[in-house]
Amino acid sequence: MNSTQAPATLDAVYRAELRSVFGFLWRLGAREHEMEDLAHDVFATAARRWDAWDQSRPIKPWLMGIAFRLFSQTRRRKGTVEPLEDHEQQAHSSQAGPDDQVALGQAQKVLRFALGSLPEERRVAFVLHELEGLTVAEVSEQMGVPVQTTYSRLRQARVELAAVFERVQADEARRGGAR
Amino acid sequence: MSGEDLPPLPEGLLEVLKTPPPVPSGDFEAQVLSRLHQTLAVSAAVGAGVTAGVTVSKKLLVGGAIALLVAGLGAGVALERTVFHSEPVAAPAVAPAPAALAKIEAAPAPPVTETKPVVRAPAPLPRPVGPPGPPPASSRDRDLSAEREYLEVARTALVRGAPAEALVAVERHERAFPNGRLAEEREVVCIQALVSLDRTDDARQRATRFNARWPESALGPTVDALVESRPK
Repeated sequence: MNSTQAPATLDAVYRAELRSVFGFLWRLGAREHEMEDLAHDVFATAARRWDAWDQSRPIKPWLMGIAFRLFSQTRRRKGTVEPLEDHEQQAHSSQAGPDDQVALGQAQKVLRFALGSLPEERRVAFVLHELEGLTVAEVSEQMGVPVQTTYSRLRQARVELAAVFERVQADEARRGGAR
Repeated sequence: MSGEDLPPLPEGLLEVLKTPPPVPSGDFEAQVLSRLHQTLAVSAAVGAGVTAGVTVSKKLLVGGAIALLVAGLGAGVALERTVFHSEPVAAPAVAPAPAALAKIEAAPAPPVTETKPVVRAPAPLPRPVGPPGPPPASSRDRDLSAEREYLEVARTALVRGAPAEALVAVERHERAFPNGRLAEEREVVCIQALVSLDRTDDARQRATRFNARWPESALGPTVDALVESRPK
């Protein structure tokens, strides 16, 4: 979106960005029952703070910033961090055949499990940069931290994710051996 | 540190990271959009009733709006005045909203606990930001643009790790636009800068004022996290 275009309408932004926002919230760990409220609140907040969006810049980083703050707010209000899927129980809960849908579901569970193992600030930085494609500067701006802090979070996130993934693979190997 | 310093990810993990997330169903998309329109209709109804002097019962109008806010919008996002392209709202607030929202202006809805009758001469809604009586649109646009420039300087300085410079830009914004439309964003940048400068007490005071002024702000968690990250 750039300044030469007609002013964006919320409806248009909603239709163009809902999928991204939904996917981002899912990657952060939002539960299915939270999705509707969160998605609604993201766009409602965007409407409320419309003036804060510089329309000469892409809207995605701004929306993602709103989304992650609302997600954090929801978690804080609940007072506890709901555990994400238990990899042991759910990532392998379906042993149906090599159906694409099943494989996708399995991969999504592994991904959620791995991301859910990260502390929130590292998970947000990692998802924004590595999966949503924001630049480090954009992540820093949205999270309100210096670039060095974002790099530090990304570095730690990579190390931790690699360790978690190693564990997941070890589990899978053990299960495979036991069958 | 730069991207080159980031440790590599295992190949298998890279594959997992490429897994696409689920997508919202058509029903989900329609449901959220419907709620969004309801939310915005409430705000439009409140705004239109006050600013345009709608002759229908404003009490009913606002009452309906409040009921919707209380009953249907559990997330507590009280939208501010909205301006739709289409016809002004002249029916109770439960009517569905027009589809095209063109512009959203910053002026808060009345508190949901408001019980006083609103059948009175048109008066501006309470505005925590902005001068009394909106200036012409072009002036407002220029102001907003100027506000953005100040904050852009401040944010860029913060990202560069130059909080003192950021603070200077923030203070300039505050002097020029003490109640500007981006005052909320300015305060967050200010608190970030103060924390970075280890002026923790100042940051805490500012955070307390922020939370008192904008208790429902989506930026609240960011502010809290900033000050909580520092030892007392």
